[in-house]
Order: sequence, then C-alpha cells, then structure tokens
Amino acid sequence: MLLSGVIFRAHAQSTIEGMVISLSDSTILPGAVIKIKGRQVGVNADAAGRFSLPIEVFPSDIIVSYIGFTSTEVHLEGPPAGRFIIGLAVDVNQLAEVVVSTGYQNIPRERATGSFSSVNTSLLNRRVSTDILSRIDDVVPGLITNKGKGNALGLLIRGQSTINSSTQPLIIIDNFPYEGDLGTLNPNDVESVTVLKDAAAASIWGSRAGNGVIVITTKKGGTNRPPHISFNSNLTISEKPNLFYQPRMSSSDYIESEKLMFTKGRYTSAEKNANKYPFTPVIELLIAARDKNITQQQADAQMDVLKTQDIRNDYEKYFYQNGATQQYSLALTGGTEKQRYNFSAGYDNRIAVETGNRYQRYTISAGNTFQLSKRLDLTTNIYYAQSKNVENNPGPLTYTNAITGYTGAPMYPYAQIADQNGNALAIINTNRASFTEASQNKGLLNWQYKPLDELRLADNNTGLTDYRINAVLNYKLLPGLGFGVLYQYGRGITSGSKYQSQQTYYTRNLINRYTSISSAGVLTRPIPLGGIMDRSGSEYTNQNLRGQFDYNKSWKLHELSAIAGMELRDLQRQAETRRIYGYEDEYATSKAVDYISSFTSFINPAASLKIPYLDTQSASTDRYLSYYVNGAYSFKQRYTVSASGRIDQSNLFGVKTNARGVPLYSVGTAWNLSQEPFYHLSWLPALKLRATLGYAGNSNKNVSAYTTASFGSRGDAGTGATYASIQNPPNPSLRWERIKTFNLGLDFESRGRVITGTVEYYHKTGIDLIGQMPYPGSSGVKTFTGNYASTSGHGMDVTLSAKILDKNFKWHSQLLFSQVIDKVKSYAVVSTAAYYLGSGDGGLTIPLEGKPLYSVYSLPWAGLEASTGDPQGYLGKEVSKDYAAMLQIDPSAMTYHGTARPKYFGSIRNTFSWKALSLSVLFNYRLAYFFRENSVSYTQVYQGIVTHGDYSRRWQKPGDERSTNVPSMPNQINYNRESFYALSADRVKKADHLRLQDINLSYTLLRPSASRLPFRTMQLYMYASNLGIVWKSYKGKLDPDYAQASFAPVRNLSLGIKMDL
Amino acid sequence: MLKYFKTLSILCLAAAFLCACDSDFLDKKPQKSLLIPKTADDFQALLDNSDDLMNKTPVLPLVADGDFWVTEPVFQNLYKETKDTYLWSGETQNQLTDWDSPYQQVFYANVALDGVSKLSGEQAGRIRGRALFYRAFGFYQLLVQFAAPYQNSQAQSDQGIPLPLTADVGRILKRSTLSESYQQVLDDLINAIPILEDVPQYLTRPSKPAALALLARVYLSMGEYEKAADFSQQALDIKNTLIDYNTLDTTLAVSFPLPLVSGNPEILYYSRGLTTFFADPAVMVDSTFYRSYQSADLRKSLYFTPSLNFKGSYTGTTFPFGGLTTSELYLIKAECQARMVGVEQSMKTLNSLLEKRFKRTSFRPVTSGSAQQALTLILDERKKEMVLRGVRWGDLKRLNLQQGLAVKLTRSMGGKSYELPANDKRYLFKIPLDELSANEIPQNP
Repeated sequence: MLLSGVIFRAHAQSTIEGMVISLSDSTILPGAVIKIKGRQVGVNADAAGRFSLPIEVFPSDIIVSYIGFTSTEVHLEGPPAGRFIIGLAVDVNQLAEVVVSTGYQNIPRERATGSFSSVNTSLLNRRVSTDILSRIDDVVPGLITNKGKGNALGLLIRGQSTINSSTQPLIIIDNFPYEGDLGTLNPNDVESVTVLKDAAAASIWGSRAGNGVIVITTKKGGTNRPPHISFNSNLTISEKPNLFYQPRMSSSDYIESEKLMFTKGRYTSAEKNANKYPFTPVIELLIAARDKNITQQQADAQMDVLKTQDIRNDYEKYFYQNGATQQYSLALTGGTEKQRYNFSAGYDNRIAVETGNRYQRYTISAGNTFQLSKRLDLTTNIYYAQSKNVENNPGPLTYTNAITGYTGAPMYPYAQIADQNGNALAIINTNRASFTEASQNKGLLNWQYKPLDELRLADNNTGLTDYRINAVLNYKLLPGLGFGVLYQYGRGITSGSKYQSQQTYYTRNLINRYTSISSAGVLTRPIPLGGIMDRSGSEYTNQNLRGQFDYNKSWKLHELSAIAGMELRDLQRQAETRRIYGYEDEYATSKAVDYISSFTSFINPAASLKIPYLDTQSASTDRYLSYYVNGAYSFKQRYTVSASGRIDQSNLFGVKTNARGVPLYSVGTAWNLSQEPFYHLSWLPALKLRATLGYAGNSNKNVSAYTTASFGSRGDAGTGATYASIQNPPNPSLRWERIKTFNLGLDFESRGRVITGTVEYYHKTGIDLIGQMPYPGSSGVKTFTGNYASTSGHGMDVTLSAKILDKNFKWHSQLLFSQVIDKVKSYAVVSTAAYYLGSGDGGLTIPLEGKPLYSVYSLPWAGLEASTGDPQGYLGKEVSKDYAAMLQIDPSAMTYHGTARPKYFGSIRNTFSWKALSLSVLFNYRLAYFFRENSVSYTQVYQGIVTHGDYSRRWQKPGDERSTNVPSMPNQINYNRESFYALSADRVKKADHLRLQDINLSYTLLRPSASRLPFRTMQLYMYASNLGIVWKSYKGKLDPDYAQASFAPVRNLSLGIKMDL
Repeated sequence: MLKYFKTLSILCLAAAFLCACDSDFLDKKPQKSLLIPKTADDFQALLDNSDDLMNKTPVLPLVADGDFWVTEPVFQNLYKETKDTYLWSGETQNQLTDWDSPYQQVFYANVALDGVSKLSGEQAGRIRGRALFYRAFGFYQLLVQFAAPYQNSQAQSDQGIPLPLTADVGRILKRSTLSESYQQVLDDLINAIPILEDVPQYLTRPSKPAALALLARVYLSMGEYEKAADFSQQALDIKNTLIDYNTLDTTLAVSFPLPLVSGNPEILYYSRGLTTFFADPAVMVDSTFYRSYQSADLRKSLYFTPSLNFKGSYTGTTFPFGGLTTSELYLIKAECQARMVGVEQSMKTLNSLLEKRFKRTSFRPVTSGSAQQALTLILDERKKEMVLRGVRWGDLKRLNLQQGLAVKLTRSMGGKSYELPANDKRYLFKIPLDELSANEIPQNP
C-alpha cells in the first residue's frame, strides 16, 4: 500500500521528492518538516504532503517530522529509485515540530516567534459534540470559556483587553474570516485548529485581531491517493436535568407566607385592581373563606393538599426528558497527480433535555485542487450547511403577580399542570379566574391557561442555511516566489417563525384583551380571530478578495520567508421581523389590523391599547480595505527575526482615521539556544527562546466619528412623523482600539522527548479603548463615548507534556496552566457603590479604575443582631444597621474580593493506553475567583413571589444567629435591608474548583495485513462528559460556575464508531 | 521574464483600480438607519422625536405640589427621588431625569439651530423657530424646578441655570444668573414668534400661538402682568377655541380624546409628563381640593373618578399633560385683568372659560365685589382648571411671594406629618449629584 504511492525520484542535481502521510489513517501531512540529519537545512511538505529536498552527498539520512507525530529517520544510500511514502506514527508530545497556520501562510513552528497553540485532529476528536469550539476548551492554554454572569460570560483568549467592544476572537475558516454562525460548521470536517495569541501571531489580522484569532483548517484531499472513506457515528444520551438544583422555598412555607401576607392586607388593593391580576389558589381560598363562600375548615383542608404539591415534579415529568444526540459523518478524500479532492457529508440530530426542543443539521462540503500546470494550481471549495432549531419548550413558567403587576413572576410552587392521568390542568396566568370565566360567558374566547397544552401547541422554529464558495489560484512566478489570488463568497440566511395559533394562550389572551362588547352584545375584535405568526429573518453576504505574494528562499545559512498582499472585504447584513395577525396556517391567509387607533382594554376599560406592531428592519455594511506584509528571516537556524505590518481602512470611521492609516505592526525574535555550539545540556536537547512585541486592533461599530442620529424604524409613537435620535455627538478623533502585547516564550524538550513544554509570559495593554466620559447632564449628553479607556493585563501560559510510561503500557500526561490578570487602567466614569456591588460581577459592564473589569465587591458583614435577627454591617468601624448609609458608601470603601472570572485555570489530561485500548481522562480546574450566592428575598415574600430556599433557615428567635446568617423576616418591605444582606460579604463565596470534565475510552482495531476485513481501521469509543466537581472550596450545594442557572449541566454519555475504509 | 512582467502589470492595474474605487468603497454607511444630520429634513426629524424626548415635561413638580397623595404601601415602592420629592426631604439625588431630559431637549434644539444656521430657505427658518421654542421650553422647565422664583430685586444675584446655546458638548457651562436665564427664555421666544406658523402640522410642533402662550406664562411668573396680558391676548387672537365640557362623556375611563389622533381644540402645544405616576389607583386627589369643585362643575366628574383618581389628562392617556392650552390663556388674561384693569373685565374673561366648564343648565356667571376677591376667585379657578397641567409648582413659588396668597403645604405618611412652608428653600429642587461631579457649579441651598 505504502509502496504504491509516490516516490523518491533522483534529479540530476540530487533533489529528492517525496510525500509524508500519517501511519494511522494514511491522511497526508502537509507542512511536515524534512531535514537532512546533522544539518538544519530543511523543507516543508506542501499542501499535498509533497516535498522536494536538495541533497548534495550520499549516503544521507533524512529526518521527517510533523506536529503530533514521532519523527522518523530514513537512510538513503544514494538518490532513491524506489517508490515509497514516508509514514509517521502519532506522538502525544507534540510541541516540537509544528506547522502553524495563520490563515495567510503556514509557518514551521521552528521558525515561529509568536505564540501559537494548535489542536490536531486526534485531539479534536477526543470530544464528542456538534460544535467545534467546545472541542478546543481545556486543550489550549490561555483559552477559557467563562461561565458566570451576563457580560462576564464567553470565550476569551488571554483575558479581556477591551471594555465596551466585542470580546469575540476572530474566527478564520480556511483563509478567511467567518461571519456566520459557527454552529453550522461540522467538527468532523475540521483538520486542525490553531489559536493565535500574541501580536506576532495575530497582528497579520490587524484591526480585528485584538481578541486573538482562531484559525480553523478543514480537511483536504491528497495527491496520488486512492479514494479513502471514513465514517464516524455516535449516539449521546443526556441525563434529565435536576430541577431541584436551586434551593427554593417549599410549597408549605410559601402557603404559610401567603396566608401571612393576606392577613397583613397585602392583597387588599390588588383585589380592586382594574387590571384584574390573578390570584394563586391559596389567595382565592382565603378570599372565599373571608367572604364566607366556604368555611375555614374547607379552605384549610384544600390548602393542606396544595402544600404537598411541587411544580418541580411536574416540570421533571412533563417539561424535561433524557436528551439524545445522533451524529453521522462521512468523508471521502483522494487524488491523482493532477487533482486532489475531498467530499464530506454530515448529519446531526439532537433531541434536547427540554421537551419540545430539537436541533437538526445537515452539512455537505466538497473541495477540488487542480494542478493546471507545473506553475499553476486552482483550488475550489464549497461548504453548505442547513440546520433547523425547534424551541418549543417555554422554560420555567411565569404568571402575573397580583401585588406588583410583574408579568414574569416565577410560577407559584404548588401549581399543578397535569392531573394523575397526565391530562392538562388550567392554572392562572395573566388574569383572575373569576374574571376570565365571566368573560367567556359573554362570548369571549376561552381564557384558560393550560401549560401542558401550550407545550404541545408551540411551534417555534429557526432555520439556518449557510454556504461558502471559494477559489484559490496559485501561480509560481519564480523559484521561491508565488502569487495567489483568493476569493470567497459566503452567505447565511436565518429564518425564524413563531406560530401561535388561535388555540395558544398568547393569541387567545391578546384577542380577548382588545375585544369590546356593544350594548347589543355584539363582539368587536380589533385583533382578528386566527393565529399570530411572527417571522424573523436575517442574512449576511460576505465577499473577500485577496491578492498575495509569497516568497520563500533558503541559502546556506539563511532562510527568508515573506508575504505581502492586499485584501478587500465586504460584509452586508440585513434583518427584519414581521408579525401577521389572523393567520391561518392551513391556507396561509392573514387579516389586516388597525395599528393606528387605540382600543379600550377589555380587562381595564380605563386603559387604551394599541395593537402591538412588531415589524422592524435593519441593514448594515462593513467594508475593509487592508494592506499587509509579513516576513521572517532565520540565520543558521539559530536566530530568527520576524516582522509584520498591516494597514486597515474601514467605512466604520471617518476620513481622518482612515487617512492617517496607522499601521498595526509586530516584531519578534527567536533564538534556538540549543543549536549554539556552546550548548551542551544533553538532557535538554531542545531549548528555544522567543520574544515578540506588537499591536492588534479591535473595533466598535456602535460609535462613529460624525454626529450620528438614527431614524426610528417606525414613525413617532404619537404623531407618526418620521423622527430621529442622536446616537453620539461628533467625535472626529475616533479610532481603532489597539491592544499592545509583549510575549516571552520558552520551548523545551527533554532527551527522548519524555518531557516537552512551553512556558510563556505575556503583558497586554488595551490602548484607546472605547469608553465613556461622564458629561454633566446640562450639556445634553450624560456620557460621551470615545477612545478614553485603557486596560492592562499580564499572565502566563504553561504547557507540560510527559510520557510517564512509554512501553507496552503507555501513560501520557499533559498539564495546562494559565494565569490571567487584567485590570481597568483608566476609566473616567465613576458609578455609585450600589452599582458596583450589585452588577460589577457581570450583570452589567461597570468598569472601576484599578480593578479587574468584572469583580466581586461586598459590604462588610457583622452578623445578625441577636435580639432581632437584623443583618448588621459596619459604618466605618461601628457596627451598624443604617442600611441606606452603608449602601451609599464611597466605592473606594467597598470590600474587593477578587475577580468574577478565574485568575488561574487549566486542565490535566492523562491518557493510558495498552495495545488497542486507550483511556483518556480530563480534569479541569479554575481558581482564584468569586461568585455571589443567592439567598432569600423578603421583598419577594411580601410580593407573594416564591423566594429562595434559605427562607426555612431564617432567623426566627434569639439564639438562631449562632446557627444561621439568614436575616429574620422584617415587618414590612425594607429594600435597603435586603440589598445590604444580598450585597454583604456573607453572600460572597470562593468559586475555586476542580472538575472531572470528561473521559474517553476507545478501542482501535487495525486491519491485520492479511485480513479481509472491510475496513483499514475501526475504532469503538465511549465518551462521558460533565461528570461533576471533584473538589470545591465553597461548602454549598451549587456548582460555582452555574450559581445562577436553574440546573447544572447535565451528564452525557456517548457511544460511537469510527471506520476508515 | 516577459510573462512575469505581464502578471505584474495586471496586478498593478488591479491595485490601481482598487485604489481608484477606494474612496467610494469606504464611503458606504455602516448602518442603513444611521443618519448624519445635514439637511433641513434631518433636523426636523430630530425635533420630531416627540414621544421619546422632545415633548416631555418633568413630573416631580406635580408630585411635590400637594394636590395628590399616595397610600403608604405604594409609597414604599416608589423610586427614591419620587419619595424624597413627595415628602419634601430636600435630599440631593444621584441623578434626575427631570434635570437631564429638558437639557437633552435643549441639546437637540441646539443641534438643529447649529445645523440650520448653514441652510437657507423657508423650511430652515421654521425649524429655527421651532428649535428656539424647544430650547425656551426646556430652560423654563428647569427654572421652575431648580431656580428661585423670579423677583426683580434679586434676579441679578439669584442663581439661574447653565444655558448651553450651541451643540458643542465640550463646553461645560456654569450657572447663569436668574436674570440672564429668564432673559434667554424671553429672547428665544421673541425671536421664534415671527418665524413660526400659526397652525402646526402636528400638535407636538411649536407654533406662533404656542410661543405667545409660553411667553405669557413666563411673564406672568415674572410678575410682568402687562406683558403677560398682551401676549395672552395675541395668542388668543390666533386661537381661542374652548371645548364645551357639556359635550363630553363623564363616564369614560379617560375623559379627553387622544389629541394627536383625534385632536383637541384647546391644545396649543402638546407635551406629556415623563411618567404615569398619577395613573396608579393608589394616587388620589386631595379630598378637600376635590370637594372644592361644585357639583355643577363638569370638571369634577371629567377630571376625577368617584374613587378620586385622576382621569382628566389632555393627553388622552394616563400621562399628565404638560403642554400649553387656550384655557390657560384665559386664566392668565383674567388674572392680569384683575390685577391691573378691573374686576368686570376679569370676570368676563373668566366666565367665558367657566361657561364651557359648567353644566349648561346650572351655569351662573361668577361676579366679584373687589379686585382682591376677583384675584382669589381666578386663582382658585386656575388651580382647579390646571390640575396636573404642570403649572401649579410655579404658581406656588410665585404666589408665595405675594401678600395673602402664600400657603403652607402639609402631608402625612407613616404616622408622621411633613410640611413645606411658603418660600422654603426646598421649593428649589437640588441639582443632581452626577451633574455636580462633572460640573462644579453651586448647589441650591
């Protein structure tokens, strides 16, 4: 098999040509490094895995190496005549010889000065998932997907160096930025992922590289290879979520508190409320007993029954289920001398743990490379994905709270949504049952709310179609000099439809609210009978055109590689939403409504209502014109210097910024210390030092250099006249945000590569960040947005790999450790302490100078007062109960606990293998950060809203303060007391933990040479994820990373099979 | 080698082409809805931002003026600034929409004024007139809340408000004197009058009678009764229609039509309160005040529900009305007549309003024996007519300075009673902290 491939062919000038493939699945290895032993002169295999290497004298040994594979030596007696390929075996310690892709070029890691992290196919395939990003979590140092709260969420590479602009890394798929939904990419199609972390690596991407760059390379065909088919399929079962995860007040406690609130007269004015808000069954019983419609005994008996009910049981039974995900993927690759091809197809189908939700995706891709002439090749690729997302599960139910009129109150805890036989039961939603029943009798539509029916009737879909077509033409102008033209057209269309038929509560309720009855008893319905269809659509069209010169040349002691090019990008986005009333799905008919007139509310005749008009549209254009150059020069394989520069111009800014054209640039250097003649550490045969410095950019589309205003998407609400609002006063000096990064790296390998590692230190400064400047209200603008802010950060990334055992039984281990320390260096707006305390941890983005962007602050805690159970704090040094004063302290007097995002994080991955069996276990850890634990809210109790489970642990009598910190219930709502407790140091917890993230167990069958099995290799694998926390410093029950979630991530178990034919 | 030259020259051509189209390529607007205001229509669109900004008036003066009270449980749920204002605590707030919103209106007006100064034509002139009116209206709303009542003797020394007159937000301004501040309002209005039209396309747009009416209101507050009378008459000469309340249905949930949809012949200029605070059933009219309406007075049943909630907003909604009406003109004219001309004329003016307010069958024209009695009568009618129309707080401030007209406001809450004596320093709201931290100007006492 191997011998039938290509070839070593002797040339007159003794240049040998060959090809490098993987021994495990015979995929080609583009970018493999081929060197003559004893020399540092080497070449790289091209995209087809082919290389040519000049050899001056024979016999000669060549060394072939590739990322993730063990180097192989080939002995050549003379110019080879035979036909064979060099096959490499997989190596777990993969740090040494790597080709990294920047999206513009492939660079051998040996010559790289910047900070790159690569993830190869086998590591990507270790995890089972439908998306690619979850597969690079825990395997790339410095990269973390933050959980936690609101704005602090999301994927970050080496911390955050912006405040108000996007934090998303730039995603590159096969040469070009990808603008669509990354969920459309089938991870089985991905060959490798390279993460560009410092300026030298990323600054080639210029103004968009500030958050780091993730370069995704998809699988390609290979030259002169027979068709190679691989098939992968798996099934993942997800556990049903635990709805009891968040502690919640018991039904019994809630009913007792409802009774208390009723006797306190909390419902008296609500009973007269013109909006006829609904009452829970207990309140209705209490009213009925008070009005002597039933006896107190009857009421008590019914309430005793209600006390035994818990809606969470119903949720678990009817609204959640075990999830299942199927994944199938098929790929075909191959090639002849003149052509290489690849084709793949994938299908994913997920039935979510939320009953009613599901997801389906089809992907197809095809690529072709034609060798048109010796100098010219043409590559074309097409990638097509289509997905459908059904979201029919409403999530936790809500109703309109009668005391506050709040429409999103969590459903009362003893609500019952189905009877013993599973039949849907009606519960309250927006209006009181007595009112809705009376209305039905007058001829209005049925006004009952049955959540179980709603789940069945929901019809909420989002469809997504995404495709990319690209073409690459490469022409070799001169030896070493090439010119390429690259073009890509990408388009994605998202279309959502939410159909709420006339059977749904939403539609019936809306129709009824607008209905009026004439004195003759005739009903008028401004909102017509029939369903309501909400459609939303968005699409993007993206075009890229690039022209680029490549130059690569090696002399005896010198190596030079450089690229220079120019790029045009155009991205257009459009979005719209439409609502249709009186929609009949069967005939696709609809009816006109009067959006202009006001109608009397049926519920509250004093209120007039306009029919909700939800049509919106928007369109945007991003354009970039960029020039870039990048080069690296190496001397004697020991010293490398690199530099890159890029000028971006964009329609986002005014002429001034574009005209100035300040380049984003980087410089770097690397020193292969181990190549020096004086270097003699035989136990550490490879040692390399790297240093880089440079700038990358980030842009914020919400600001502009001009006085900008925007038209209201409809007419003014009162007059209907066209109107406009001022978005920002003029700021002609607006410019790109810049992120300056200094990176220092050390790469090393012990003898035999038993231990390999990389240690990097970096320092990042965010300069000219978009921030706000407080302006006095009298100027007409409260804040002025401009390049006013800055951040600074530093940290370390450490990767250590060890082959602890490497005999028949192998034990390989990899440790990742990252440190991220960042802080806001300057930010002019100072908010009140209450803001920082309440939302500084991610609820909002409220930078405080000198502190990390998302930080947990608190007020000092002095325990509960023994006689009253009141929470106490400190005002200065005095123990105090002056909550208002404590909440209004100067921000500088707050207690700062630490960041809301981990300062240290990483993973430990151990792989044990014996013969065909392999077990890989991954732990991850996150350290030195904080979160705020929820607790009881007596405001909610007073509002009749179910609150936290800490209610049962509240202080009730003197002495309780020794065993609890949960304050007593006050005699009336006391917002400040409550805020003080929620924001006190008592509520802040350490989030540090170690988690058993996942386990992969696989068994690989290799076809014995003589066997007639239909496959070359076959692997059976089992994968389990979200296995739980092994250790945490906090003693409570919550998962610190999911302290706000209604349930913790569910455990998944996958079984799969992978075959190569 | 020739071939390379060919390739290179094609490339150079391509590069040249790209550079040539470069300016067009990057000139594309990033957001379709993004507007860089340049034309008269653009500036008009900014001024027509009525519902979100331009036609809104502060409500804290209505909360403070003592005509309405709120039940304790609902009071406990109010925002701090509302609570503090309600109980006249005199505390400084972190921020106040009642301060920011008029200044935002002034900023929009200044953007339009700066913009149209570079344009010519009739439309540009109209926009200039409208912008001047908005600016004057904004300044006057601020003066009512944050400055002392106008007294000729002290206006040179009393603190006014910062008076931004251009759209340059970089210029942070100190407080002008009270005299300068009032003069600016007067100047803007006087400059606006000749270029405004008599009948606006929308009631949200300033018109000549609206500017005259505001001028009359401002002069009245300054005690310049002659001028107030003159301008109120000039406005009435253009528009003097009154709604005959006999034609209205007292059983409706909201008594008056939506002016922007169905029109309202009394409205000269439409503006609405910032919040619907007075829509809460727990907010009720003072019962003594309620009883002061006679039973034949249709306003009693058109303004209030039997449960003493307010339903008589000229906005036709639950938002209080904050604009200008013809009925105010009658009251200004009558008051000035009572003070300067004579009882008879003033009663005639007042009766021409009241006959539209009382049941036709039981209306008896009011009479008065003395100028003082006539004034009291007119001021009582003014309070009754203009309830929740945004003039009471200013009236309290100016009348407290006058012999025999000063009042002490009282309230009780949670078993405690609170009072606001006439001319108390708390009649000046405190300038919010966020202004003071960015602009070092003197706080009110």
